[in-house]
Amino acid sequence: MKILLADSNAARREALSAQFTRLDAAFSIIALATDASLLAEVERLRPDVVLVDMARPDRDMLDSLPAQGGTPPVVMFLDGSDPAFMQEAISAGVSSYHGQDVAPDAAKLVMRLAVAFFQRNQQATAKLQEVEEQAEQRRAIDAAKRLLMKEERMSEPAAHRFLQRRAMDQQKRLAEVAADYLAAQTRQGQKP
Amino acid sequence: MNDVIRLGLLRLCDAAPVILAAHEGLFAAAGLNVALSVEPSWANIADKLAFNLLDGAVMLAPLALACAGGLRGAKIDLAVPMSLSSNGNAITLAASAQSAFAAGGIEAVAAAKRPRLAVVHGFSSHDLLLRHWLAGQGVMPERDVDITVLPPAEMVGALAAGAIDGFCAGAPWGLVAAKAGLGFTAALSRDIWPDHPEKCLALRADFANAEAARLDALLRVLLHAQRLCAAPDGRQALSQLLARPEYLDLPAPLLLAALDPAQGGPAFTAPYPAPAYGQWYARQMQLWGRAPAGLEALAAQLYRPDLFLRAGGEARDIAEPPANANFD
Repeated sequence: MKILLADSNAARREALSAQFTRLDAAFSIIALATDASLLAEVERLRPDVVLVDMARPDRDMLDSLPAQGGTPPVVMFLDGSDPAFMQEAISAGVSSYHGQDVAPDAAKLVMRLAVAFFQRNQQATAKLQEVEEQAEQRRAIDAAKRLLMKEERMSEPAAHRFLQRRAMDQQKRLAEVAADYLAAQTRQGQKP
Repeated sequence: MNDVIRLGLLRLCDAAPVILAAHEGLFAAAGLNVALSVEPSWANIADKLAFNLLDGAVMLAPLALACAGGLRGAKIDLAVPMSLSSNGNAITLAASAQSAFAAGGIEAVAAAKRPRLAVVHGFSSHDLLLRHWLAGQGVMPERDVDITVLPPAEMVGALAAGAIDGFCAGAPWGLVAAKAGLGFTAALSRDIWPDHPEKCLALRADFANAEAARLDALLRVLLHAQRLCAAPDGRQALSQLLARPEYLDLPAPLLLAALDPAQGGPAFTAPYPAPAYGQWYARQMQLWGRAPAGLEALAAQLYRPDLFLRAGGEARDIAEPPANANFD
């Protein structure tokens, strides 16, 4: 089975390709080149299945092709009897199109694997973002404290208490108050 | 009741009323909790509506018809209680075709070289208005012209690369091509059907039918937002709002020009969801072999002026649809 993979995320694309090949040597995976036109490649390569990252705007090129004799994959993967799986797939951000002669079971197997990989990638991205945000907040608090110590001649504990009190008064989080303070100081510094 | 109402939209000028309403807190002021979901493709909008990941969307009227008729993906029970915009699309041709076009119109352009024209989706007002325009001048889609699909943001690049000879897209893309010297406006969509309905509000029917109070409030907010978007003195601020990275992510001065109805930009002054609008689009879809004969009857059920009137909208400003083009 020939699968065209239109996914702009290189790491996910490679992991998914490797997994397909491991699963069954009968799968042949072609990654869509970055600059290639999705529709032109589908017409040229005639894959059995096209997996499309839902973040790609060019998904619309496949969305409404009239189904004519000899046209490449145009049947959108759809399992009306399993709306929970459809929701899962859409939330994971992957869609699939296949040829008229691909059995629904085979199309679903391909889709299951893709959904699993997209979900894993989504979770990893979310976790990474969370850690990055925390690090960013930490940096803002530390920078605000350093500035308070320098400009207001506060001790480190006093600077911390100052920010805490302000956070309580304004009912904001410590990191937000710190960021506000830094922004205000920067604005003041820019004034002539 | 403070459940979230999830509305989908694309990065286009005519999504302005929904974006403005969210940004100005108009939904919240009406007691509505609305979450906007900016999507990269029409296919995403349709799929999310189908599997209840969106309650409604700023939608192409022909796509709403296709979804309701089960012509694309899962069949979706939809209701169209309001039109969100009119006009706003343009047919842009490559600069190299300008002299042929000036001399003999699209017929001369097509005679010189079989043109490849792009539209934004296979079920779009762009596709149907383009076909109507071509056929009206004796240039038959498919026989004389190839019509393909491209995302709006890729139109200008494809024109520059020579992959297409022209396109029909919404504001601001025609203007972007013209400003880059790559193309010229061959026709504005309002020249094809003056004040034609463009985007509509498409809601899942289960939401539209079950939630009278919230639906009324939603429509009233959008009517108010449309009036704000239509006011010329608010256009500057509107262009700056739309220019933000989370929305269109384009220069504000460009959007300011694109939002000018006098230059063919979208108008926000005709919210009445006339069933005749849906019926015209359905007839065109049938005419071009994209829909079975029953779609026109379905259009009359899809459009819900009753919901619009109940919410306090007025029945006026109905743009008379054009007659079918004369074929050969």
